[in-house]
Amino acid sequence: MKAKMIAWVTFFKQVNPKIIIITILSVVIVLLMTLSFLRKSSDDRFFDAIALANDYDNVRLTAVYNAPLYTAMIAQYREQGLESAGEDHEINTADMTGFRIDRDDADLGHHVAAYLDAQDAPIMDVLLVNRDHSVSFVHPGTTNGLYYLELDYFELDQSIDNTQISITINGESPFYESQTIVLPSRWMLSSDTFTLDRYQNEIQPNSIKVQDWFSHAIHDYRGMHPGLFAFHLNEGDTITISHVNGRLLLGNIRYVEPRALPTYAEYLAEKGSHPLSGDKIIVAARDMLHRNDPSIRLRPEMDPSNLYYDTQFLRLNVIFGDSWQNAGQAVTYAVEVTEAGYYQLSFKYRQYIMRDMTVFRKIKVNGDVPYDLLEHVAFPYTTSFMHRTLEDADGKPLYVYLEAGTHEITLEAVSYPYRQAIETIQYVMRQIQNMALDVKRYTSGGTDLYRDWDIEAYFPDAADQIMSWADLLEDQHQSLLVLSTVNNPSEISQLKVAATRLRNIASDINRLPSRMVQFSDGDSSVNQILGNLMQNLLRPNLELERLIVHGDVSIGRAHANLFVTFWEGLKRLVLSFVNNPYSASMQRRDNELMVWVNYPRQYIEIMQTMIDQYYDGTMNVTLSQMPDQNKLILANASGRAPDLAIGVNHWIPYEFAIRDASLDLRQFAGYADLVSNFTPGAIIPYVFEEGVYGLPSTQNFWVTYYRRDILDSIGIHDIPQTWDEIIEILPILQSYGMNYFVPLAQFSGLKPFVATLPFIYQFGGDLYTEDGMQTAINSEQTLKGISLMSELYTLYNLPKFVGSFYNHFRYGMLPIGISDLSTYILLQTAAVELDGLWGMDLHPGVYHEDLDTIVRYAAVGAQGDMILSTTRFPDEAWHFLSWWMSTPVQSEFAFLLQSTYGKAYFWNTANLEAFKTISMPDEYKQIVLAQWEHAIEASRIPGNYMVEREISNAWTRIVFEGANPRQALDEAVRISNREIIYKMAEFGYAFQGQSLKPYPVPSIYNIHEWLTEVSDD
Amino acid sequence: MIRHMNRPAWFIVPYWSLFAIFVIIPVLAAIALSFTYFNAIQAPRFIGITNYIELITMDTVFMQFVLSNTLRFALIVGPVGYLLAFMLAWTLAQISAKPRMVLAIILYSPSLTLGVAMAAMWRIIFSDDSQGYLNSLLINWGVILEPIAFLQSPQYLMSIMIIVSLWSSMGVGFLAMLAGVLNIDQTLYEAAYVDGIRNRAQEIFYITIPSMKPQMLFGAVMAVVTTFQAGGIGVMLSGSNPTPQYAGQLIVNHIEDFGFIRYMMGYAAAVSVVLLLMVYFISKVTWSILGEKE
Repeated sequence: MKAKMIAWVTFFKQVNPKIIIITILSVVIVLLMTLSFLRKSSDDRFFDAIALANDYDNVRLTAVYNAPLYTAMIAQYREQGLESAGEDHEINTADMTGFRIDRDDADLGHHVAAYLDAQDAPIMDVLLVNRDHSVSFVHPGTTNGLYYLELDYFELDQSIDNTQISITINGESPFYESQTIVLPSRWMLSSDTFTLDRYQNEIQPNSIKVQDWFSHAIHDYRGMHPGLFAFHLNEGDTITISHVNGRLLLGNIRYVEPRALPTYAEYLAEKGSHPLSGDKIIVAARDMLHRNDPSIRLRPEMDPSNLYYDTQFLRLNVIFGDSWQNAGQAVTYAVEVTEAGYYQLSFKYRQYIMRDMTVFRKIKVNGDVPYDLLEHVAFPYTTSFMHRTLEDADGKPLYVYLEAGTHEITLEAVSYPYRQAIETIQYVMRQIQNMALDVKRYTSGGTDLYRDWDIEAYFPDAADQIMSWADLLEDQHQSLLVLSTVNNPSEISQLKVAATRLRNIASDINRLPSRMVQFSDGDSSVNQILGNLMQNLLRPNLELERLIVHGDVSIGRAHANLFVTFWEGLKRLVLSFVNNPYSASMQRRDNELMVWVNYPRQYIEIMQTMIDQYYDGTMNVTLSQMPDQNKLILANASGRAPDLAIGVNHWIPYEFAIRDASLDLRQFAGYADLVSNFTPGAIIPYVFEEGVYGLPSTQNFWVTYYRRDILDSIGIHDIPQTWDEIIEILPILQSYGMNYFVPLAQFSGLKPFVATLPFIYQFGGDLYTEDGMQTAINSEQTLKGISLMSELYTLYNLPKFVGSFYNHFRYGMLPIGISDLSTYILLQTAAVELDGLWGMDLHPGVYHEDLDTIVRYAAVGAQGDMILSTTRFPDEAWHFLSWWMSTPVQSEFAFLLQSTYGKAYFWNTANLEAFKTISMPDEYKQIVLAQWEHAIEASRIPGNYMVEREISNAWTRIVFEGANPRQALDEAVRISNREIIYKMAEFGYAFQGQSLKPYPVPSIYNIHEWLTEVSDD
Repeated sequence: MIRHMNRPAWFIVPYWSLFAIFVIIPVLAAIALSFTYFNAIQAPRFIGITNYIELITMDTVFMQFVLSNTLRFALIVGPVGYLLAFMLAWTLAQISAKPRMVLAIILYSPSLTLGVAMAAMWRIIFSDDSQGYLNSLLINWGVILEPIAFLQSPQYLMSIMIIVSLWSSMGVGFLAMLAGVLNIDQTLYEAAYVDGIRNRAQEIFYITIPSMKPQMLFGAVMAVVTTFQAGGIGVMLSGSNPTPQYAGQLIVNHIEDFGFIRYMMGYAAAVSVVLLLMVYFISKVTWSILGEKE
């Protein structure tokens, strides 16, 4: 006993901090290990969304569109007591009118034959739908009621864009959604095996559109309305199907009777009793049979428990959630079942975007939804990958019956349960915007805090209205709670925030004008909160790693155990020091063309695959990523420059050319041919003396963007085409506290040429005199341009600084303005709530009476390519460059890029012919192409940066210091001329202030002189 | 062999080799380049002292804006920042250890996080539109009606640069001074009170400052050097190099302008040699004021 005591005492005496720390650490490690085995690895909870998905009561709709929404149609159908006509009827192509194509057609005959041969009823031909031809038929039925359409079609274009049609009845579109109906395509990966790049990482194969005849029952592609679209037809109605996007052949059209989905109990009863299978079939998410949108792409996830995994190299193993977040996108898997029976469905997934909420997938087995619970299967929020086995409300697994054989399981992104919330949000946003406009009309956009406004007198029911919107939002919050995993979901808490904010505003309604930033304008306004929320709700983002079709067997855990994870992590850490793909290497081998590329890695991967596949030159081409462009200069200084540089800023080739570091392309055969595909204005920055030292590879566009809805509602129906017209609409815009955006405001500090050039050239001015020794910015024409450029700010009060035009455009504070490609991409891919509400028009210009045209010059410079003069293989380098910039290669690259990585990977190639084939809605493409006819760039001469700087400084002096434009320009000219002559001396064109020889200046007025080849001798 | 190795000089080798590679060689290279025409693409060409002649006789931007801006900036930020650092260090030394540590970290961190803070804080505070904090406040208070373009209009940029630099000036020098104040032997104060000093001010001037001369010197040199080297701040605030109308153009911006925008590396090297000389001269002056005179 006593000995024991002593032992304890000595133990405590020996305890020191070291031992304590070691003990604590080991306890923590043991605890972590134990906990890791208890880590949650599956989430099978059931979410009941059927009621929400089918709820068409309490409809709140916005009337911003040119036709009622389908939700309103449903209400109308109900009101009128319309029901399905119950007719199954096939309308043969013979009964339709349109442009007929029979089996003898030279181009399309074989497609037609394939269809005709498969039909029972004898028909002679099919119909073509394209921009010039639509198809119509007279409703053959006699019953007045609802009809559901199914049509046979064949897509003729390989384009990445969905083929879209519109359906009108007697020339009118019955509802908004019928104006753009998507006919799904079927995209397959071009190969089952994933090739490795030269660094052993997997590359996703490109996708090929399956060209075949498909049948499609017209339903809502945007994932809002379950079931099929119902069309109300009366006897004698004419139904017209017209082109929106893409050409197609149209076969027979059928009236179909929509099948009411059985409940799960009915389904089981119908299938009868079968044994529960004992099999387990695992399908990796990457082994897709087909998908309906090539934007859905794979990404590597470094997790040792994944089906495809490598410690060192990237293996593509999960569907990238960001690429599978638009309703309507569907992926189909083939499942081989060996024994018939009931099976459960499990998924290894991650849904980390909609916080605390669920996203939905419609699950189809062999093209049909088996029962109602699978119409919208919920996937709850999780930050790490988890298993999910489908269960019913009682926690019992859901079964589907599968015969032996191959089955197709499709997962389609849908948002049915969120429809009402989204519509309500849209409604409230719309109401807020209208009220804001009304109030602004009353206050002229004033926000003065200390002025007393009498809102109550002018808008007596404003407060009540705002209160009622707050109620609506709170109701929606309440009803969405069933879709949440927690009591207080963070994603939709914004609804409550918005409601509270609205109540606050309503309680002190007379202060509304000064609280506009909280109400409708600005980053944290109610309108913006709701807009962001809506966008999130419209984003059923889901990552999928595998699909498991199994009987009553364990599917294991969704993650590897702690030891494996730790060990793999350790190995990766060590390997990360050696593994560095596409870095600009300094070693060069013979017979190898070194190309430095200034694009992100994804672009380079595709370039490399295209080179491997198609390039027929004698040299091997090695691509390296250029980490930053200054490295090119340093590499050149140390004599290790590559042969070619691709994608450098458009002003770099000139800087190299004048220092004898890049090659004149006019000496090569084929230059004139190649350059005829470019817009002449884009060549200007590459000109030095007689030569052209680079080619544009991408090209920007500056065009007018405008909000249709806002401009309509404040009474501006014609988009201004000239600066004078812009000045005319400014009073209207500003009376609502809105404004016009000119890109000058996006550049703080220095205003670069891209912002100032339009003003100079549109008025007929020029930057330099003909001999290049002086600037010409003090000419009468330029003076007009500069005066306008500054009067826009001093006289007409345009915003002097705008951080992000895109955001202000979304909030509606700048409903019209000039911006470039980046805004287009954002609007196309990110601004869901603006779909169909914005438009594009040409850059505003100056009307010249003598020419009777509007001169709309705007800059286009983006990136360019050049051959460095140190290359040992100039001809081979040119061969590669002309191959790369050739029309077929550029259009193929643009297509591959989007078909591999999705629509955000928009390739704005400078090759006009290739651009014509690019995937972009036709109306926008025509505008961009038309704008490119007015493409200009700043001429480059030694010292031109000083002219750019001094124009900017002159603007600053006029706008901020109130200087006289003439004086400011004179000062600018003095400083610029000094710098030009100094720089000219540096390059031997002048000596002691005297010009020695003229310097040829390219500009839009004479650029054609540089578009021909010069023979070498 | 071991006997040959056994010389004190070997102990200096690690230091000297690093110092040579990272300091002496670059400085010599810059001096050499300053006598050449070097456009970063072609090989340098020796042109004698032409760069310096041009710098003095032709570079109006340098004479008119850069030099005066740099001096103004350095003479305000350097001494004021230095005094501020000393005052704060002394004040901190008066409170107990734990809160002192916390406050010291708080004061020190801006000098580390300037880049991030710039993007996240200052550019938003001084943002040119009515949504910038300062503009918004001033409009709400009725001081101004239209937002002021703080970062774009030349008359404000320099003042804002000075404010932001002062905010971030509690750097290594401040830490050194704090350590210096804390290291002073407390018995000195007691002895001094016995000898008849009467108040805190006398304490500072008769005991504190004389006892921490090395740290004071270090802090002063650091303050001078960092203010002369500061260049990013105007560019970061205004968003472009050159700053609008050269209002915030400091000598480092001027070097970047010539080196990377105009591709005149030789000239840029000449300007940087001038900067080196200025820093050297001013730290000599500081040394002679604060250094130990033996």
